[in-house]
Amino acid sequence: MTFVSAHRPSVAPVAEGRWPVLGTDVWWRFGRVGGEPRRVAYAWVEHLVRSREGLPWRGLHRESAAVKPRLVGSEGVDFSISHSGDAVLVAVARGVRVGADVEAAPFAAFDSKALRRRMLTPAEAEELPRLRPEDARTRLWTAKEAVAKATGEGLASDFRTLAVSAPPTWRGRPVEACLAVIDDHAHPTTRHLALETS
Amino acid sequence: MSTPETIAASAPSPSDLGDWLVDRVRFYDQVDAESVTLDAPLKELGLDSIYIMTLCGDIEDTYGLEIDPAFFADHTDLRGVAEALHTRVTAT
Repeated sequence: MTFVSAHRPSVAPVAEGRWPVLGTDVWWRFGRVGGEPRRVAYAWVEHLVRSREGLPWRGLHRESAAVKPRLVGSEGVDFSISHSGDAVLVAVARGVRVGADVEAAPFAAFDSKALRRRMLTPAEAEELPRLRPEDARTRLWTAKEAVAKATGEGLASDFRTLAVSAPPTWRGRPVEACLAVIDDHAHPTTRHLALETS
Repeated sequence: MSTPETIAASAPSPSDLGDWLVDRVRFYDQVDAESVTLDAPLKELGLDSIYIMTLCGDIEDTYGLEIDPAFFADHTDLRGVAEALHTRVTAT
């Protein structure tokens, strides 16, 4: 993980990196910011696009409020943004669909049995009590949400049948973040990120 | 997090369902309780994907209705959600 110096409007260290996957690269930027996380997220998308050679930045176009904006003049380039509390994660990729999700503590929402029943596969529900720390469930959520955003299905995706890998040991962190890409056979690959200084 | 009580007996009215929805969303505590009303824009109630899915589970626990999270995209406020749920409840 590469740390770059904080710059406005960020107030905390911001990590930026490259994830080589499926024969391409996913470029991501992840950090905690001082305010206006949504505005920062879009500024970071522009930053990532402008930083890539051969990718023109001609702004974003939004067809409607219900559809994710697309990059103008960048055919085949996808991006995803996520923010939670003061945490922001964005990703840009060429030739592959990408999804990003970040969740910042507190993770009290995951105490809900109703939510766990809706978001876990039967195998995950059986395994979850054995996972430590308890916020493994947040880790599972970020992976599923990132996959759902990569496929474009969003909440239409049934998380109860969406199995993702979640390593059984994981140090609890105040921010959980995950990237996902989808291959030609609709098989997801995920990568979790951590802010070491958070 | 508390579990909503299962409501049996007679079918709930749209008003009952609306009160229950307001109560649940206030319990989620994502925005000020006063701003959670039947007519407030759904997008301003702090219902991100986590809480939409939680609400689906709570509806299932309480009213026995299996609701798809995408159901909420068809509505702009909790009043509309309550009326649609009432239609579903009385149809079962």
